Amino acid sequence: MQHAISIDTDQFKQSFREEAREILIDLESALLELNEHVEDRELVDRVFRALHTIKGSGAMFGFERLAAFTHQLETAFDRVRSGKSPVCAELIDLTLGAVDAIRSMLEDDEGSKESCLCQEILTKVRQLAEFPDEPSVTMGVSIPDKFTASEPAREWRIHFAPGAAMLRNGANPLLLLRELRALGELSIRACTDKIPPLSEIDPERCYIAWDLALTTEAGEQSIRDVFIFVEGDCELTVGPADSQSDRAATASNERSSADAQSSEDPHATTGNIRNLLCRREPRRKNQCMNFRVAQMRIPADQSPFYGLFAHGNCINARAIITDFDQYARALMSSSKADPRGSRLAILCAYLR
Amino acid sequence: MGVTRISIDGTILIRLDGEIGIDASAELREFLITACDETRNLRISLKEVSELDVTAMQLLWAAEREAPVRGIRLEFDSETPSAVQNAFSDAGLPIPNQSLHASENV
Repeated sequence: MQHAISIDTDQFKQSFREEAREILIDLESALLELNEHVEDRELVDRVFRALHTIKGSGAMFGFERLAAFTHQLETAFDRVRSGKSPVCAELIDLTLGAVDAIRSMLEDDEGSKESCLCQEILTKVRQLAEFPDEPSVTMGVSIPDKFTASEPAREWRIHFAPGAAMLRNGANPLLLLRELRALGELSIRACTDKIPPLSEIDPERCYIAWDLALTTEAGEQSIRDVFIFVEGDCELTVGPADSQSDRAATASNERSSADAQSSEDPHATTGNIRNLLCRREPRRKNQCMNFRVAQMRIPADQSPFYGLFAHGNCINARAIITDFDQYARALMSSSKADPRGSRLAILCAYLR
Repeated sequence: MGVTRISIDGTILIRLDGEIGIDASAELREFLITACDETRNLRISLKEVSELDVTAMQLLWAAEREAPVRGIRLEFDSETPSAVQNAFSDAGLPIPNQSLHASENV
């Protein structure tokens, strides 16, 4: 039975595939350059970021096998990045081979024809980069940022409440919780008191919120990174459990974009949108899926959207995003289903 | 694949099959509402479910909560596949068969 707002997850997946293909081209290019300049830290960072983006986005869009595979490669290059492992021609060759395997997984994430090859690549990569196989890692499970462990294990309290549009925008809270669980020991309390009676439930909205206790060696940023693609679509607080004052200081409510755009003050709206763009990089060639300018070290004023919101102009940012969104929907519903539509729709969802 | 409904001797069986995600949630909601209006005996089968998302889980949770209040005997098939168990566990929700809302006393 069709319902009013049809969510075509295949479109999101297809959009991810297209973006990932572009990232893989850049990854190959970076690897080939790195082969010629093994001391170039920027190239190592570029490889790492590409792998990180493919892993994170892949997990987000349900490519769990691809994400788990890429996570291992990412761990290897994180070790290279931190000076724990050297760059060598063999690692680069293996990673180039891995790029081909990732391409296959993009087309058929459930397939098994590449499994042996993938395992062989991972075994060699782990030997070269000198990190052990993680017992929990299988080719079907998304494993996130254990590599960012940089602190003694501590307990964190996390409150995560999906916003009204989060599911419609293609996000899956269960994947986020699973990714969080992979960071350490997680206890979950689901808050179900907001679930209305059956007759009042909007079936495309998540009414459940979660109070989580996570004991992990990962830092706060690694925890927040789990939510990077939904941070404007949810309430999120993260704070250490062992200090009430720390928690109060750290647990800032991040219902940022939605609240920011509902502000009555156009200057405030403009400023908040600008802040949002500083954290989210709009689509750029070869760096498509990562919206964090800060992480990508791309100045916000290079963003093609920056001019719209700069100079304190009193503009209606919400109206502009709505226009973009309508244009995206028109592209998606056109007879040829222009794939740019789904990409633009995703961008609009993030900007909201 | 999806949600189907069968009526047998006054008992309504709602059967979920395959991947039950946001695309199926509106239909599942309508089936549950209609069934709760039409019967005192409702069965839900999850044994053919390969994937269950949070929209479906919260609908099942709401149905389980409402059934006893409305005098409806709601039973889940005893066979709960691991994918379903894992989904509920990952969400921090009780697995339906083990739920405190079970309506044996109705």
